[in-house]
Amino acid sequence: MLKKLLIFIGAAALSLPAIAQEKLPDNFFMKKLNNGLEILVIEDANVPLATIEIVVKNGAYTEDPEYNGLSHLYEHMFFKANKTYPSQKAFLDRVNDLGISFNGTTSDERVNYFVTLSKDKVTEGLDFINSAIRYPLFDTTEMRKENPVVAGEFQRAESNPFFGLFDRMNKEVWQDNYSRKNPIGDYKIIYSATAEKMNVIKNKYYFPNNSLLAVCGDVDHNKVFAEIERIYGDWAPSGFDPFQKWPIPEFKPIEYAKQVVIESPNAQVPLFMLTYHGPDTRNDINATYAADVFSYILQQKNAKLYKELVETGLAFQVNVGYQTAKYVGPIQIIMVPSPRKIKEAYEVLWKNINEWDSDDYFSDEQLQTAKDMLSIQEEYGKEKPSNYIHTVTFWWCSATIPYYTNYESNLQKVTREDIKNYVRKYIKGKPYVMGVMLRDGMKKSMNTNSFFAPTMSMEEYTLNFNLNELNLAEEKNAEKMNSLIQWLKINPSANISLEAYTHDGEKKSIGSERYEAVLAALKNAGIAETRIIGTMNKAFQVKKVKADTEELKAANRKVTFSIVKK
Amino acid sequence: MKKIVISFLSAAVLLWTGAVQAQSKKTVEEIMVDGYKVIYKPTANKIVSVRLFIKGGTANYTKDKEGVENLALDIATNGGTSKYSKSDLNRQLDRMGSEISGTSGLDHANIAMSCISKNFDATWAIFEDVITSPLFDEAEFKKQTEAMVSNVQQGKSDPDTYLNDMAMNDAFANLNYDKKTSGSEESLAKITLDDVKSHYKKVMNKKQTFLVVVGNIDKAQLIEKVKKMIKSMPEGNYTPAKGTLLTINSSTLNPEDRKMATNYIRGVINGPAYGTEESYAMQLAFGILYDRLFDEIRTKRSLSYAPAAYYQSNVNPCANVYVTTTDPAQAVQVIIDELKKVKTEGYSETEVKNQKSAYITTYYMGLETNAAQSNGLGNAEVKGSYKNYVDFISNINKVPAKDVNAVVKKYIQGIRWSYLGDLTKVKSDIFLQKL
Repeated sequence: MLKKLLIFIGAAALSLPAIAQEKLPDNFFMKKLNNGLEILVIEDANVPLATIEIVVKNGAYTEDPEYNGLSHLYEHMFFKANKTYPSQKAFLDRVNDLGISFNGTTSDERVNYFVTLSKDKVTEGLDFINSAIRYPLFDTTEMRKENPVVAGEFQRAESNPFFGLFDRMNKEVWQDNYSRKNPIGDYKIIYSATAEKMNVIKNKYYFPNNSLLAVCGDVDHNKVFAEIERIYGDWAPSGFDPFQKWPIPEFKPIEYAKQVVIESPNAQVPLFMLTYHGPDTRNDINATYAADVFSYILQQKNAKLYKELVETGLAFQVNVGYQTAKYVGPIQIIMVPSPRKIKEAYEVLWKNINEWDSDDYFSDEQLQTAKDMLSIQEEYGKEKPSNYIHTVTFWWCSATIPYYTNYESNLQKVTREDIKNYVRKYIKGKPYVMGVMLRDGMKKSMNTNSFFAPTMSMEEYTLNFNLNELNLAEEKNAEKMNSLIQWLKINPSANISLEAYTHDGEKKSIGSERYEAVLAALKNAGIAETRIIGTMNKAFQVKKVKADTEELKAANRKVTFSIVKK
Repeated sequence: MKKIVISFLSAAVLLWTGAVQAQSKKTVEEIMVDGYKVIYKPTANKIVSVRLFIKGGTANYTKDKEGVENLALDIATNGGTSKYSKSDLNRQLDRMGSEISGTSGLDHANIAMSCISKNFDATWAIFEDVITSPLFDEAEFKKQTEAMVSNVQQGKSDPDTYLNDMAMNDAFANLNYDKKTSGSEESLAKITLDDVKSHYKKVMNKKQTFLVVVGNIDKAQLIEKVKKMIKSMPEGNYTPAKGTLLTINSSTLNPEDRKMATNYIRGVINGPAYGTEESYAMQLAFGILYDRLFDEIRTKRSLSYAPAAYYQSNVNPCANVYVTTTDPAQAVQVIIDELKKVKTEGYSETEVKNQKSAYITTYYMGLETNAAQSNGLGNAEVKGSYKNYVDFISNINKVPAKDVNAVVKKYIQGIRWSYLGDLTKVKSDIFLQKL
């Protein structure tokens, strides 16, 4: 294979000034080419390697259901045929020839491709990435072959029962825009992908003005700037901002709290997952800092949450995390309860959540410790240049580089009041989705229905009755009533109305009796009557229907529920 | 702040000579402090990594006590010491952003400490107390035991963890590696606090343990600290367990039915002893095999996202092939055909040359963090000498292609297959073919 001589152009030849350095760490160097390509060089001579990473603002957030998973497939196709290396074999031969370690990832708001190689082969590495990013062939045969490989990746994830819970939760949390938080994608979509669809993605997002080229390692930034300008300077910009042309739709807020139960024969221990919509870097930057600090308060072993759940043996693990995002970062709480104390663990978790905004939930020392821990984590992160570069590019996609470079100083400014505001704005009393993963049979043996029942739609709560009967205790009705009561408990500000239906031929009083029986059951479960709208005029809530057929009659022996919005 | 990403499985190959690696050799030093071994590597960065290694691993306990070493280290590192209550210990570590944790593996255990250099003294003080006088409190014992049982159960849900246990139990039946380092529900139900205490006392001696320190630490100060720490440590009388080479001469199948989206398969093959010339040749052979399986199974036939082959350089070594696939019959046949081909045709000079280069990337990437270096140095020391870690690249580079082809012929005689998945998808005959 051809080995090019390293000919670096001197820094003086550069046509553009470097971006103002005052806010950057000493070893960070940034620059923007005329075509909009941003360049970041991080000089770090820890080992004689360099990692080159091209980052594109693409990923799940750009995908509607019809494209779900295609950013991910595109990422796979990057490592295949292109104009310079016209087959995957040729591509891999070049990898061998250059001595490259390569990888790529697709996430919600970033797709990145990176190679690590000798510091002496940076130019060849830049050339190699240039061919792949600008001139992919999307060979039909190669695409067809890659589809099952991506499906294989999906099947591996699916084989872990936790994925079932995670995926179901995501569907409930992100609702109509689930695809925009599902980077692995829908493999039916991946199977049906065409070169045309790949080109649609390319022609929307794969332009220099939507990309960052980062180099981290034992390099000289001036030489790297010059080489990038030489190789990438003629990459034509798109002339548009893809996010203005194809805006990302806003995620619909979670309207009501919801409980989800996933049963799997392969789940060995119960596991809870609780998700809220959190802040994002477009709308509430201060809360993103408060979120990180608060997560680090809660993960301290002397934190109240840990002491009351793990130290007491109610749970084996509890973790609270926030994922920074440009478009609604999720707040996630994961708890592995002791199977013998699952209800107690659930209740103590909620007790804690309800105390999170109280003045004395954490000490000043814990607040400071959290900030210091985050700073020290940064030090650990910087130790590994080949990985550190990914951290920095993550921030470029989901916030900005200055957001990251000022991150530590902004964390130090977070106050107790900021955290209380964050908790009140995004967590306490806010609608959420909570799921539990159970092995088949655990539901019964642990009696989880007594405090955690799968939420149904209001239509699904409809209770059906036998002729002239009040069979509320019948299994299906009891299950629905239990679930409805749980729903009312987890949505304390929601009101409902109920309507009882009867038909000609049933005894006259049965409609009212059903209404009263359901009302009594709700009151017995602790649901305030004031939340049941219409009880002052019960007569209006009982309907008698004319029904000719047995089918119609059966369908009208029922009590229905609906949410009454304020 | 966490990131959720999907990784593209990569093939790592590098082509360039390893002249610079000699630098690291110069800086690693073996110091004897009052007869106690310390492997020391000064660095310029702000992170310090210290590990106290305990030799033996699964050789240190019987099958019915499997998990006892991990349990002992969990309690020692989490449960407080004579000077620091549990709460005080956690508070101080959190405040400094320091970590002390323990883990026990097949061949060794280690108690690891990491901190930034300005907090070295204060973190060491806690580390020293964890080593010399852990509390081993009854309540902590109960809590950690229950947590370990939960971890064991969680591991059963994860097909890779479960397949690993299946493969090790099958290939190393009645040998040390058929013990589960994290314990089993049965063993954890029987282990007592006295078992834990006596295990810790048994292994924590000068002969069976040593220290690895990587960081920007003054050598003289380090020596003083070590002297103080080992002052009351018993001399001990440790004889390392002899490594056992597998003798798999024909193929077998260990199947288990589990309904999942895909099927998990692993095959265990004989391997040469660690640190021998043959072991470096085997490392190269299975590195090349990895690339070939990637090409044949993934690139050409789209049968799997994750085919793999690797040599496990443990005290009791073995080589492995691995695949997850919805078409097990075809994928296994490709693996077997490739192994047969390698045995008859061997690898080319170019393949061997490229593979040698590939290890240089891995080597340097492994040098990026002090924690990875302390782990690599200690791991090699347990199995013979830390120098095997320092000299890894030069040892790899010495191997001629003919030796790579010779180990393939010698060691690939049969495969002990483990299969976790849909049993109706494949017939046992495919696995049992002669190589």
